[in-house]
Amino acid sequence: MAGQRRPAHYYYPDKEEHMAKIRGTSSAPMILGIVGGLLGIPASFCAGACVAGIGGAAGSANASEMGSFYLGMCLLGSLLGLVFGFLSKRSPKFSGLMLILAAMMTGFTLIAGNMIALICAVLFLVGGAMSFAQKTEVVVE
Amino acid sequence: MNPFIQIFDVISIPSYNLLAGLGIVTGMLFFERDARRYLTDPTDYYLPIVITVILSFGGAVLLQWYLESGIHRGGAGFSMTFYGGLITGVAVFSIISRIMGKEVLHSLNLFTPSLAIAHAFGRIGCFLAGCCYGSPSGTAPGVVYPTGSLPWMRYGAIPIHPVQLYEAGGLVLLFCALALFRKGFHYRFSIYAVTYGILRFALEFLRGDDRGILFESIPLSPAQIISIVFVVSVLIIMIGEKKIRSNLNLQGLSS
Repeated sequence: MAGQRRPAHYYYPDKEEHMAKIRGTSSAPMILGIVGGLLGIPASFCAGACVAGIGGAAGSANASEMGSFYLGMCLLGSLLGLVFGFLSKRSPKFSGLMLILAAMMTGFTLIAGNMIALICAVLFLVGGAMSFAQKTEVVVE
Repeated sequence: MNPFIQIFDVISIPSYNLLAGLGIVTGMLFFERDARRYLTDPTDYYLPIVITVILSFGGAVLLQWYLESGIHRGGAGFSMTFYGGLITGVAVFSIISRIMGKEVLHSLNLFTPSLAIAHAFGRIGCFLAGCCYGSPSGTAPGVVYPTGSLPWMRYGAIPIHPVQLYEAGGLVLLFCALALFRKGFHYRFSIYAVTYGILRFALEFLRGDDRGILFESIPLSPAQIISIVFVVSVLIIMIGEKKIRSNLNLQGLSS
């Protein structure tokens, strides 16, 4: 019972096709988002520990708070990347935007020397760009 | 065993997370290809799937936390157990499918092979990370883990059962059976639950890591107890459903 599928540029709406939805066609943003999201979870713990450790060694009074902030920032970025990686076919443009935001959030923690975050940020960035650039198709209910 | 994949001696990628990610990706790609036979738009399921995946990880951590610490012991670490994730995942996915107005069993059947292949990748990740290890293999073929790994700290440099790979192999076979046996689509989840329950029950006898405690009075591991409950409940549901279907068929014939 597969539905009608056609590239978006061939789509000419008529009365019967009001339930048409525009969907992405590339699996690459999903793959990059999921792998980046899963790698981002240990990266966020690493970021938190690195910042707290460096801050503590430097004698900073709020090293623990800074560590929590970096942990939260990277974890939130990873979850954002994971969620919108999954949704990159469902809503390509918005997911692309969110993947780029996730790349910025995880990439921010690179300041702490968190090198796994570099991988996540690159994966999210490429995924986000591909989500924007991917071809779309129209799914008719 | 290789818990971290080194890139230019600067970046260490955790193998377990990488394999878990690749497992989910493989599962999703299969789901998308397979579901197009039964659905107009498989992307309708993507939001339920992402919610399910995230909450399943939470469920896996919570059950392991309960088994490790709970009321029995103190000082639990951050680890996961598959059954916690499976129970949470099935519950969450069923509830969301119901809310979306989809048939629950149909939705579960759609996603079952993907679950099996993702789990297989996860077990290979366990093998690389050195967790969920087996007991000493004696004269049977085994794996000697490197110095400093969890199995080495428990047993030393002796061969132990690569139980993670046994389970991964079983899950790959189960995935192939579920994916290839298209006529049995309506029984996918039931077949998975019964087969995996039996496989896990048997493999638990070869496990050598600390499995935690569910009931102190029962000399079985928590996963074995859950396996029994899982298999029995699914069998009861299957028999009940078969009876209902045969009754409906009889009524259809009589009318």
